[in-house]
Amino acid sequence: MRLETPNKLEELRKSILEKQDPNKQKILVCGGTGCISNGSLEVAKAFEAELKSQKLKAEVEVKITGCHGFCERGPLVVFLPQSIFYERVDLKGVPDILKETLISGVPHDKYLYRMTKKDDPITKEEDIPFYKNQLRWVLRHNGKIDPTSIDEYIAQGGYSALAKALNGLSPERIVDEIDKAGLRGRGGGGFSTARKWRSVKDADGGPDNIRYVICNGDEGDPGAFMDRSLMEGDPHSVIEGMIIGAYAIGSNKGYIYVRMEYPLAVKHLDLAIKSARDYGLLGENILGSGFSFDIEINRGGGAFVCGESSALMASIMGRAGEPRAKYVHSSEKGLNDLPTNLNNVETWANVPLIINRGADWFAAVGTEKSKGTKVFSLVGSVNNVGLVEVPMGLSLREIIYGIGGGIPGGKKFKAVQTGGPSGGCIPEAHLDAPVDFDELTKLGSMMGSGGMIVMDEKTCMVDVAKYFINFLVDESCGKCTPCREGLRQLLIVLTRITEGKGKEGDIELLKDIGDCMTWGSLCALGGSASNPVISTIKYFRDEYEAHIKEKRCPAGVCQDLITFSIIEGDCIGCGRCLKVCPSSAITGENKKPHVIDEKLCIRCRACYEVCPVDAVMIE
Amino acid sequence: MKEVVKIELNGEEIEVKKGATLLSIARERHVYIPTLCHNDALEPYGVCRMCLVEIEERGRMRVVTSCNYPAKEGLKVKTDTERVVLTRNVVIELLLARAPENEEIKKLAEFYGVKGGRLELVNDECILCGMCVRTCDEVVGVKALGFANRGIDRVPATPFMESSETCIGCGSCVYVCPTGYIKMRDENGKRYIENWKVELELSRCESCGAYIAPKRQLDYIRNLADLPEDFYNLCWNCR
Ligand SMILES: Cc1cc2nc3c(=O)[nH]c(=O)nc-3n(C[C@H](O)[C@H](O)[C@H](O)COP(=O)(O)O)c2cc1C
Ligand code: SF4
Ligand code: SF4
Ligand code: SF4
Ligand code: SF4
Ligand code: FES
Ligand code: FES
Repeated sequence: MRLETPNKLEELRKSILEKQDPNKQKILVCGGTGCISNGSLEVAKAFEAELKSQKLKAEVEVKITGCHGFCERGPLVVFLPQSIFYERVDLKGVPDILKETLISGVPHDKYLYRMTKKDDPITKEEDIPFYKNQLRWVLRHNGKIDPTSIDEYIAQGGYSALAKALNGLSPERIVDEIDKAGLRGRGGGGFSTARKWRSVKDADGGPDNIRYVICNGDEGDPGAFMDRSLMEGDPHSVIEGMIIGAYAIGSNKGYIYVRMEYPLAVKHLDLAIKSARDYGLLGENILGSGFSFDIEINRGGGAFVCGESSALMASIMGRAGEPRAKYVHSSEKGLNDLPTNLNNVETWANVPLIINRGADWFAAVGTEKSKGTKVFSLVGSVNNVGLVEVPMGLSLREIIYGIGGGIPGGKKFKAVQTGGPSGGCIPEAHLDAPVDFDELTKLGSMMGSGGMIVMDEKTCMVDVAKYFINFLVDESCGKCTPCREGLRQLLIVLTRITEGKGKEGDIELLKDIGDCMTWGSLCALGGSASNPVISTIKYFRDEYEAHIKEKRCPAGVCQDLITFSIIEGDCIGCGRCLKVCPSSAITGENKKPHVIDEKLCIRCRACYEVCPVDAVMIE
Repeated sequence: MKEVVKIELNGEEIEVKKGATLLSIARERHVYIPTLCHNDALEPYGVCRMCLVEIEERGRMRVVTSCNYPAKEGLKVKTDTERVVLTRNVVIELLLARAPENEEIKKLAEFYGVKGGRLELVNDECILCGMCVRTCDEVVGVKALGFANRGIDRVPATPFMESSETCIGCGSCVYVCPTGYIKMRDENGKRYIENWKVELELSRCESCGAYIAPKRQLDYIRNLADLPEDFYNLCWNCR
């Protein structure tokens, strides 16, 4: 069915809403990648089967939704209209959950959320601290609607921004509105979206006046999944944003570049594109406006560097996914040497919101130069791991403690790395810094696409720097000297420092190489790759010095620089360490203090992990 | 007529062709900028990062490669700022560790007073300037070469590192390589280029029997230039 006019869209929306019963009993099962891998689809089937056997099938609807961002607690199941939130639901729990929730009318205690086992349960999603302090604008549909149904998106007001744009806003007005909203790119550099759109709009589109828009869904940061969740859980919001952008810029052809490792995102986007075409929201003469636009999906090879704009465009054109040295912007000469506008998934998803609610509404949230919200992937040593969306300007502390619930096991916070593998590590002293583009850059890190890794006191910062450089060595394309050779040498120096072979002058050497990479690299991968090293030197220099001068790893991590011993007074002589030691380095009689022979110990940490009274000491 | 723009080069205001590369402008004025991946016959590649200069554009300072940065009105260019010197010297230091025996890099190191010794040697002759790959593509038009692997494992290579079916054995890549990494020899009527795993039969002069060039190369040129079948039957001396 083609929607010939904006009015037809409104009529459709009304008819969908009329058919919906807000009081209908619904069971929402999360069908995001994380929950699926934890068995959520089987759980959904079990609910269906159980409902059938209890003859409740007609009254209850089981719905598969997108990711709620709390994947670690998955499979997640929400009962509506009661708004009861269940976590870690397994097959065995299904009958009881159904019985208690639907028949007895009380939530099934066992699967309710508790931050730790000792805490009281919380029943409603919105009362869980993880969600309470978030501002979910971009993720508003995630976990709520069925991403495979365009009707559900339309029922939520979907495509009304597009209708509004086509029905009365000139392309200039749209760009102005985005400008006034202060939207900055969510994919990395925080570049002004309106300024980018304007330069593509004004660029020479050649004899056929061609311009392209691209959605960057490469998301190569390890551990990050904000863009994946959006594409999987609310694909239409990304597509609607792209159509509006294309109209504003004067483009008739768009691409979504998604990595091959995201099959569910590809599937949902593909479905979304097809159903949008069926309704005439994509294709020729959209909503009778005379404007035509269509989208093609491109599957990326899955290299981190393919997310870089020139590499991404090369990849779409079937060339090697390598950055290209050029000083003509892709807004003038991008894909096929024609003006091309590349934006991140989350950037696109913000567009319908701004057009619908207005620039002033949007810009009321955030800091002076960073407006709206940002989605972060909060991981590492933090109680609540997951995707969080917060207003720009919230402090790191509020994110890590307020939403993340602090550090597990009562450990002390040490640092947080923001911005993906080439971001910097920020120490406790700056925990109250407001999180926005410029503030993070000032601290020697960056917003990047929103990775946030929390590290506790048991983390060695030299080891952390080595870890990220090791990742980047494999991800550098190898084209230019500073990045390729610089990363290689950084890794060599960091490795020798962690092995106790660090030399006088190594810190200066790391800084020299880092500076050379920052200024001399061809693309932003090399340009930012030394951040983990430079920032840890800046904030944790004493730790580097302890490794180099005293051959000591203060955090007790670097294998070659630590010794294990058993504190005599603490050891209860249980013998567990003795049994677990792979190199027979431990001796001792039952119920008497055990000892470790330092010469035999291979520093595997097994005894440390297994000791019930923490009598094993690492120095 | 080409448009003319005013720029500043090391403090001196000059008029130059709009869009000309900063490197070509500097060279015309005898301002020395070192290069390792530039060749006038090839498209700028911008990967060795030797030719860095600092520019100021709309109040913003940046370090860019002069071999591909186009002249624009009002640009201020400086070729030896502290930042350029530091970055360039570390680039030389990195290359010196990669290819410690390379004469050209040794010369650059000496010229700029860069001492080795801080970095672990890699001992890879090839400096990945891409001259070979680009020459084969842009000049010879054969496209037999590309790069294999990523990052520190990157090497110039034939597709899938297999024996090249397309290489005509012209040797252009060998001549253009600044490091002698590509090994070519003619032996017993054949031309061998080990790096590309090619072994091509050499054509002989029908009159004196001297070797002329690989058969595949002569075929390639004959085809390209639409020359008669027997055009290369004789060597240059016997013609
Ligand atoms: C190595 C590297 C990887 C990148 N990966 C991504 C990515 O996965 N997703 C993304 O949106 N942007 C990525 N970027 C940033 C893009 O180059 C580009 O700036 C961005 O997509 C522009 O969109 P925005 O203006 O909406 O942020 C990457 C940049 C670099 C240098
Ligand atoms: S900076 Fe790194 S990733 Fe970017 S072009 Fe250079 S080698 Fe490739
Ligand atoms: S660290 Fe491993 S090898 Fe050493 S004493 Fe403990 S268990 Fe044995
Ligand atoms: S010898 Fe082969 S690889 Fe080298 S330039 Fe000639 S055709 Fe290309
Ligand atoms: S083989 Fe020679 S020409 Fe080719 S990239 Fe290496 S150094 Fe450059
Ligand atoms: S996949 Fe279920 S919460 Fe993320
Ligand atoms: S000569 Fe300019 S980067 Fe190599």
